[in-house]
Amino acid sequence: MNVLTYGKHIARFKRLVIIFLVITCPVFTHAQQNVLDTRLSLKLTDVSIANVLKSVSRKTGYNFTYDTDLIEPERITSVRMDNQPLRNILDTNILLS
Amino acid sequence: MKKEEKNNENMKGKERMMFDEFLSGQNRSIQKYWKDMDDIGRSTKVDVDKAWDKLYNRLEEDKLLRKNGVLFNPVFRIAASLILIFGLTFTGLYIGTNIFEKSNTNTVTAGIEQKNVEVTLPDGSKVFLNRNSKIEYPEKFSRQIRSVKLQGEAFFDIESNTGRPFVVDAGTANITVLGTSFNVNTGHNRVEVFVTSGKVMLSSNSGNQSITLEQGDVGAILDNYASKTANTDPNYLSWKTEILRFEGDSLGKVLHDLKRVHNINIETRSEEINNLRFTSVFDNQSPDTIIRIICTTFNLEYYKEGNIYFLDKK
Repeated sequence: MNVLTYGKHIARFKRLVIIFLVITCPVFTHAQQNVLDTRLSLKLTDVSIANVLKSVSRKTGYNFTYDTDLIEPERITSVRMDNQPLRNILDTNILLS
Repeated sequence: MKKEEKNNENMKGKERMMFDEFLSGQNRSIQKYWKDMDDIGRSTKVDVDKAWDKLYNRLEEDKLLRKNGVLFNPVFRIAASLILIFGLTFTGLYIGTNIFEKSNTNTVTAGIEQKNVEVTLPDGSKVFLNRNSKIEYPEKFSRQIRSVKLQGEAFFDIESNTGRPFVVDAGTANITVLGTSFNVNTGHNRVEVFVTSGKVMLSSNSGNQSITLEQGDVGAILDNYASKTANTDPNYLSWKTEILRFEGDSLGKVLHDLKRVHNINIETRSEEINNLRFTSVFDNQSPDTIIRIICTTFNLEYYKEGNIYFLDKK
């Protein structure tokens, strides 16, 4: 089991942290930036952020841990990503909204 | 040797002399009494055979005895003896087996540091004991019922056998099933059952409260009162599965589940911390790792004193 953290300051004192718990995919356990460079395709229409993250979990084998009040998991979004790094999916859909 | 013999003879002679003197002397009344006693002894010598004959003769005269009755039929006598012998043998065996079954009770106890102790029952059913729990079961189940006794918490995966119900004696309540899987938690006079498959009957010890539970139901008996709700806690069986799921749960709930599953103490330094909302899935992570992840997520710090984790703002 690997614990990898990905953090970003989104306000002056707030730091959003997403923790990846790598459980099922041993392929992705080398280095921290490799996790975010993992490429995947995702096409979802009108789904909650929570469900976007669940889809990513199923595809990559990473579980996400986060402060629920910072992520807004109920917010509805659509994702159209074709073979993009995980970093892009998180940046455009979850962190920068 | 010779000297001693002589002495003995002398003593005997002396004694006899003294005894005769005693009888013939002033104690004539005693001598008479003695003689009378001897006479009584002789005259009361009873001839039993003669007495029986006399009784039979009298019974015959009074036509009270039926000599040709069924009781005197030799075939009947043999048959009666055989029935008696077989009867006693089977009764003996039956009582014997019951005592045998009762005296051979197996007890499995899970200590404070053990959990998920797996027990295989005589019928192939599986029981998983949580820590601080105890199960008693017979070496061999009886033909009518499969009966066990539980203290603490356990998960049951029971082999189906509709002809032989499975009963858990949980102190203040009984749980009866035919073949299902369910969790039983006892303590503080409360018995709680969570059904994961099939049907379960939960009844109070007095028998006047009884409810049927189905998959997903949580039933409880408290102070002889039965209640039923649908389970909404994804971590009900986490003590067994070691998988913890949180979806926007307050840290208060998260810490409560962690305490229950990992037997650790967690204290928070402010009520604010308990209200933070947390989302995560943990699968077999150590308590240290989980606490570390929580602290990283919320920018908290922790320190450990003995078995207690203290969580505080940075």
